[in-house]
Amino acid sequence: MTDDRDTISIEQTLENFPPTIADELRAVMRLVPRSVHIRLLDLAEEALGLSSPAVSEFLRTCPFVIERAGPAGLESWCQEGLELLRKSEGSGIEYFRLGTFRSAHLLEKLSPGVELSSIKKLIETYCLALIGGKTPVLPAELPIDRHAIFLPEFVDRYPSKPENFTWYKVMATHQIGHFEFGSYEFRIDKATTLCHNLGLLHGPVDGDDTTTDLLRFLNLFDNSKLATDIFTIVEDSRIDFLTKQRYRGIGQDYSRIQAEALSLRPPITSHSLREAFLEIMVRLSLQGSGKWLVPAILHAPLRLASRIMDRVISPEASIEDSTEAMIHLYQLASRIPASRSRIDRWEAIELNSNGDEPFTSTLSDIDEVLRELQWDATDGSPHFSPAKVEYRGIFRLEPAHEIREAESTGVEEEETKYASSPWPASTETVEMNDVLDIGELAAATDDPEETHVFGMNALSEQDTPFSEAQPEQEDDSNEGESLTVDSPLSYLYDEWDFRASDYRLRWCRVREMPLAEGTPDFFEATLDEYARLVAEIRGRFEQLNPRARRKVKRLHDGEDFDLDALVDFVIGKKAGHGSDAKIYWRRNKIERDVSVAFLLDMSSSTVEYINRLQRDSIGPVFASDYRTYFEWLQSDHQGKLRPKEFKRIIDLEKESIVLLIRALETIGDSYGIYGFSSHGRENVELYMIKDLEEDFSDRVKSRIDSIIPQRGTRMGPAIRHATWKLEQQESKGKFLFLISDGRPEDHSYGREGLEKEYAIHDTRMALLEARQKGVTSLCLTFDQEGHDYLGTICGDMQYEVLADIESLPACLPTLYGWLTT
Amino acid sequence: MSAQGQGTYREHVVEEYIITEEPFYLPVKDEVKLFEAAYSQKIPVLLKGPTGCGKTRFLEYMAYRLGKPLAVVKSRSRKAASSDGQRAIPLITVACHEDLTASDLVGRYLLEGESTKWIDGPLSRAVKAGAICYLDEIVEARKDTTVLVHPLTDHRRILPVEKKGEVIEANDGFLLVVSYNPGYQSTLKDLKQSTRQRFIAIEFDYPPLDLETEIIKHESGVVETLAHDLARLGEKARNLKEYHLQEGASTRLLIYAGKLIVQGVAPRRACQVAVVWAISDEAEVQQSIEEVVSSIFE
Repeated sequence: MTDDRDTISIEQTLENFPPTIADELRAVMRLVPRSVHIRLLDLAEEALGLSSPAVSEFLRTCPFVIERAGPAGLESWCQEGLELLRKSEGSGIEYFRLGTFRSAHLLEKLSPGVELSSIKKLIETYCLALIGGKTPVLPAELPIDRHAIFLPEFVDRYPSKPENFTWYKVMATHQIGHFEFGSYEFRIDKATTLCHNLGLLHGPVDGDDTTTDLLRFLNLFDNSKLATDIFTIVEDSRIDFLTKQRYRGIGQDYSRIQAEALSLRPPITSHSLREAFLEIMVRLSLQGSGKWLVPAILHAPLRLASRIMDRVISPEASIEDSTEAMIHLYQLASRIPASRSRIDRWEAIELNSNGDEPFTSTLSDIDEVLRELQWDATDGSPHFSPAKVEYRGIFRLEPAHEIREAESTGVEEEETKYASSPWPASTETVEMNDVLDIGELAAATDDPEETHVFGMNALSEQDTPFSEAQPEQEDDSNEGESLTVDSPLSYLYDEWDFRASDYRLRWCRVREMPLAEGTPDFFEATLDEYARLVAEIRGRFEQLNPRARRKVKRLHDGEDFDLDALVDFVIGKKAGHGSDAKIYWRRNKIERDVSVAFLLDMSSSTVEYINRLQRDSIGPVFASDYRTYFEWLQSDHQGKLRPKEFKRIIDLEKESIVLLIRALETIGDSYGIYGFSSHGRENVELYMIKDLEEDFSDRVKSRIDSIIPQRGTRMGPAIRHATWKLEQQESKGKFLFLISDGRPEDHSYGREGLEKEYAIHDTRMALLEARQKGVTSLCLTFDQEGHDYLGTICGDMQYEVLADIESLPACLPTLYGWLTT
Repeated sequence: MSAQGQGTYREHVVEEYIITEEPFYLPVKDEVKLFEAAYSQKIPVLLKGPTGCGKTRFLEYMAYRLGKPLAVVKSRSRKAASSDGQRAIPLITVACHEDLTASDLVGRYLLEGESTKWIDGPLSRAVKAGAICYLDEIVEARKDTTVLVHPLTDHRRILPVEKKGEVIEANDGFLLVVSYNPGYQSTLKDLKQSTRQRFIAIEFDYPPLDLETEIIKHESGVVETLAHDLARLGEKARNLKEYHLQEGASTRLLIYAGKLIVQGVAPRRACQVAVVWAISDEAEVQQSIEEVVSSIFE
């Protein structure tokens, strides 16, 4: 009655919605419980009042949210989204799409379930501790890997997170038990010797190296499926017992889960005799003792089986014991009829899984039992395995697939492929080739294609500078999904959306790119050009260096007398002052333990001239005619035309890098230099000029030569990636130098196309994240207008605007002053 | 023993610090025999091994065993001699650090009123008193300090005292023992070959499960099953070494955990404070080890 009334009112309400949304609602309602229908309509209505695209997103994710968090969770999750939607439509849509950190995080919090991904590392470390070898934890759907343990991707069996986590833990502990207690130490020679001794096997076993010992052994049995099932039951039983015995802490939870598994076992009524027999064995293996109604004819075999099983319920039981028990049980089970026939008499049997009296069964016991029952030994009925015990996961008997090896070779292949063609050369580029002699532009580049790419990039940026905002309709990557890793050297990062005050998950893709090598000439030329500065910087650094190992004077105790203090002291004494005997000095050694990453802005905007005057006189010409620019760039590269004072931002960046390298090599800190540029969120490129682990060499010098302006400046992901690189270092002090023109701008780096604030806030957030991770950042720019941006980006963090390279020597020791302290 | 406080503390002159009660030590291999042989042949010994595995305890035990005083005489005049001619061997320990100078070891002039007074450093005193001098974590000392022990560790057995223009010939009972943990020293801080090749090296590792169980049981007083569980926890935590931990859980920490348990702290909590939080600061690793703890302990 109530249901009918509800259905009518729901239909009436649906008429108030636009037809497409009403259809979507109907579809969703088929997927979710009836009890939430009315509330769902209310929520959809409320959302519709704010934004109709948001409703569609909401309806799309709604069944998933209900599945994870239940109706109550949906309510809280939705309310949060509606509130956000009221503030900003874009953020709200993103939220309902489950595309933001806050949205995903809240759902995770509301859901009692546990996702494997959130605890994978924890479980992996736990397993590593238990058995000492790296054991990957894989989702249960993945292909076979015998060195792994398998867990479901998501568990929500229980109403709370800790209980669901415990389920994972018990599952992992059981599967790791197979490794710890020797399931995989099965040796076929031992097992076959056992068979020979029992008179069951005659002649040698075929040598077959393609499969595991265990599988080869099981295949020796006529009914290998039955043999496998029995082996699994017996071995799982042994592992369960040993795990509970050795890990008493988890014992209680383990037993609870076993009891649950026991209560979930299927009824025996519909089984064949053999199936019933196996089913009782599974129950026995769950260390359940109990009274079960079974076919009366099975009583004797089951009592015997129970006693055979007891053999593995012992602290000393090994895989050999399991094998022996399994052989015996097979002898018994293979003779029990497998055909489903009517069973006349049912009688309760009481079995105890751990009998007290020690028992060694012999094959003759089995024969005796079977003789009485007079079963036909050959029964051609198909074999049905007993239902799986879920918490026991997967006990892999098959040979290990070489997944990891295959993967690693795959990685290498892809890497090389990737490195050789970073970007497909377009036809436009070829046309450009006719007009301009780009070959000479980056003369020493080995790969001609790469040269085109660079030329193309610089050109396209020059053609459509970012200051003329991109048309909004092209701005489609803004409305998008989270990205995925598409090559081994690419990394995903979240991006901060200041309007939503939330992260957009896996929003940017950073690719590590090789940088072509030019000639070391630029490096040497810069050193020559600034010979005086180089000397000055070195002088300052040499002064800086001993400061790290300075003498501490006037101590009560030390390495030696501090003569001045001693003379003072003696004079004081003679004069009758009771002055303090602080007359020693000591050298305090401060170990430098510093890693520095330099992030070099290679965006198109660095093509600009430092000096406003120069910019006004030359800039406009280039902006309108790229050919002039390229002709200039080409001769500029060869150093023919460039008057000394005609410096672009990138030139100063390169020169300062040269001087910095010189200085850093003097004091021996580990440092990495990375150039960055971007084209949309999918393509943030990080050029490896010198990796942190790499030693300084001529190749590094040559790479500096190839630094040329490229595309946009998406600073956030570049900073996050450099921070990640620094995090991999073990140094105590980690520093990030951002050398830029200070203007983050990129295709769709912002909600409405080019929105400076968005980019600035994301960059600022990336720097804050770096600080939280113990990385100190400093921004350095040669752009005189940099103050405007850097002030906002850096906030209370340090930044320097240098007028010209001449001021670098004066500034460097200051910078390094705080690096050392 | 030179002075005895009001039951609060005891003060010893370094060369008179003699171990009078047998320290508890369970030999793992033949280290006792080796050390005895080295001592009688005056061969310096290098003890290698991770922290808290029993290097210092071994040395205390050896000092006691080699000196084994049948009658301990407590007097300043150093007549601590036993009836069978053996004498108690003092153990002088110096913890090395990077600011440890030659003067810190050998001695220096100190001002006293209007004049100066020479004060022997611990090494000089050990050399004179015929003590076992134990330089703990020798690699931490500066290279110029390390070189100082060279004349003492070959056939010469002398200690030059530059400031006084003297040379001290070592007392027969003197033996130099150094310890070194190869695990966490960087290559920068490796021991020079010219130094390390003056010592025989005895390698230590954490004791095997059964021995460690017994050690924990003896030292902390916990019951056998708990001692066994603690030893197993140690074994498991050591599995994480090189992957997530610099050092595994030391026997010392496991004993601390045992002691806390004896004092009534719940086993899981005791392991948390004595083991989990002590060996790692990384939240994720801590959590994983805590899961191991909760699997092992009820």
